[in-house]
Amino acid sequence: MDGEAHAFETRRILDEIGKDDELRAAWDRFHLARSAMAGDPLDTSHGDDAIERLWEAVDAGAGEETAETVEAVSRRRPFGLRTGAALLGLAASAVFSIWLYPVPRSGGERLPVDPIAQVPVPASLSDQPAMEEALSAEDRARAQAYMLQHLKRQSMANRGHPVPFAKLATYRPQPQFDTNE
Amino acid sequence: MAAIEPDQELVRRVQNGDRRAFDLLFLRYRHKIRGLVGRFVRDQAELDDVVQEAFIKAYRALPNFRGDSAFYTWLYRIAINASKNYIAASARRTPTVDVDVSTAEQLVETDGAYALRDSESPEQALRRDELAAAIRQAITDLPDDLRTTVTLREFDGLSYRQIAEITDCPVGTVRSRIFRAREAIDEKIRFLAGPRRRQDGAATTWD
Repeated sequence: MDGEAHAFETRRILDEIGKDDELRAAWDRFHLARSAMAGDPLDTSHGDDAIERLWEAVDAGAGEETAETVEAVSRRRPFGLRTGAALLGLAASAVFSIWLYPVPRSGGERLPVDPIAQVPVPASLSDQPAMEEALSAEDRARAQAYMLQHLKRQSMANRGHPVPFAKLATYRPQPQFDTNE
Repeated sequence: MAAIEPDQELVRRVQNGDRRAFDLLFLRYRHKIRGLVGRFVRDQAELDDVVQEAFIKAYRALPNFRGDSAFYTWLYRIAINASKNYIAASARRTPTVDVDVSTAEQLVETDGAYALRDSESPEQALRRDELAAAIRQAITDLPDDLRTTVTLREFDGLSYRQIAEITDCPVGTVRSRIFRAREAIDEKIRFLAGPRRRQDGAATTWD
């Protein structure tokens, strides 16, 4: 009765113990002795008294919520996962929307776009015909130079911050030094 | 045919509506669970209640037990949760559950586990000591071969096959020696372990 018997023998012995009170008492003593040898604290009350109290409580309905709780939790779990996934999706789409469409300030001016740690690739101004017409050749050259200079700094600092366009208006290209000379 | 843990078979029977199978699980694990819960619950009467609650919860939840873990592991978790619930309820009832100096002095370390010295009545303590002494004496009185075999099994937790290799004898001999040793021990504790209480609470046998 300690896990060493074959399945058939175990079932037969358990059948016998189930029918015979004397064998059941022997089972109780057997485990009492094993617990004592293992150094476990002993429950010295009579086993049958404790069992009577246990079944009285069970019949009176004690612990009935336990099975329901276990069942309810297992039923609720998929719903909880679905709800969590839906909330996560909602939050992600909200963040993505804000990233795509920044909230305009009171003056209608848009906040700088946050590329989220991606090095911004400067779009060629020639891809934007309306802007191209509005900008002078000098402005375009200054903008291109500014973006190039910003990208150089970014690559040296290994950071992906957005291009601070606010500085564009006052930016002056630095004189180039030929290092080959 | 492969060996089978009695727990596995008993759980299956309980799930099929056999209450007496649960009795055997209760009798098997009541000492261990009591020792476990006793680490959290000081009061003797409440200790009995929490142990009973743990077993009731296990019985109620057993239809959902799928056997992913061993029955005792599962029961252990239930008992821990019942103890935690008790502590939480105690904290709500009283302003604090901090262990003060006088309470701490009552803690006795036993094999790494803490138990409360006064969690049992003097009669219970006496009975427990008598039982433990009787078991020790029964083991001491065994013939050498039986004592060695049962010690390797119960204290060292070796399998029958491992014991057979160590003692250089067939597994059948090991089985027989363990059976005889257990019979001898059972003979010594038979009268100590079985005083059934009458309805008025008095013991019917204590000799």
